[in-house]
Amino acid sequence: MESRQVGDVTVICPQGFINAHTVRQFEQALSQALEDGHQKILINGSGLAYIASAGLGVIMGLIEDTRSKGGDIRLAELNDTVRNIFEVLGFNHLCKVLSSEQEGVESYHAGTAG
Amino acid sequence: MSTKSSGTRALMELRFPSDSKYLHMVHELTRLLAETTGFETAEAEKIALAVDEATTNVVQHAYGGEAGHDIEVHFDPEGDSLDIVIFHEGKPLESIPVPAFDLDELVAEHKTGGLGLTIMRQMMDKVEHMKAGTGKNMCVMVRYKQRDPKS
Repeated sequence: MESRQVGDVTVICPQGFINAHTVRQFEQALSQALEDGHQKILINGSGLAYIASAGLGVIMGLIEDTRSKGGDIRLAELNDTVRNIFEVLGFNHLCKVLSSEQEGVESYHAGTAG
Repeated sequence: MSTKSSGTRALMELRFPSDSKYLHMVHELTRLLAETTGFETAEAEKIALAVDEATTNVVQHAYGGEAGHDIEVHFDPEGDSLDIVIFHEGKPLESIPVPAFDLDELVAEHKTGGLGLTIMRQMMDKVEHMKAGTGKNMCVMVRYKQRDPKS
């Protein structure tokens, strides 16, 4: 799974779909970034067709610890399918969702809390 | 719960092994079937996600992640609803307690599960786990073609 640094923000770019079969790659990408001390995470969803509960569970399980270390997990460029599932479950209140990667990166520099 | 598919032969049937690598295939087939039978793309995606979650539960919880068991999905898109019945011979899923969905509580407790059934219930109009007449366990899901606008 592609992961790159934009300044102090780690941008993770899942491709295709995240379900119970593929979730381990997504979990590893996030966990690796956090282990490396990168606490500002931005998931760029432009290549993501859909996310099932397994993928949402990864975000749910990591976000509190990430925030307690001064970081956050934010998302950008979600398609309608992913945005809908976020809204249905209330994840749009849990996580900051930005319309573009640039906005997502800038949101960290604006000092806005997640 | 009475459905078109619960007692008679379904219009379409799919059988696949209890392996998570088939979940995406089931998702895509369900999406295409829903689109083909009159659901708009966004609605078809919701139905596909519900079936993805239901079959994930069978693979992970009914069969405990054990490969080599059969899962059958029956689809009946005739009439005013798309009825989907998932059959398995694993642990009855209605016997597994599911706490009420509370996202704040799940986050506070660093939980990674507990979302699947909520997704199924939000995306479909009816979701019920029960025993089939054949002795198999089944998850019955119904999605009406004309949904209550507030849903």
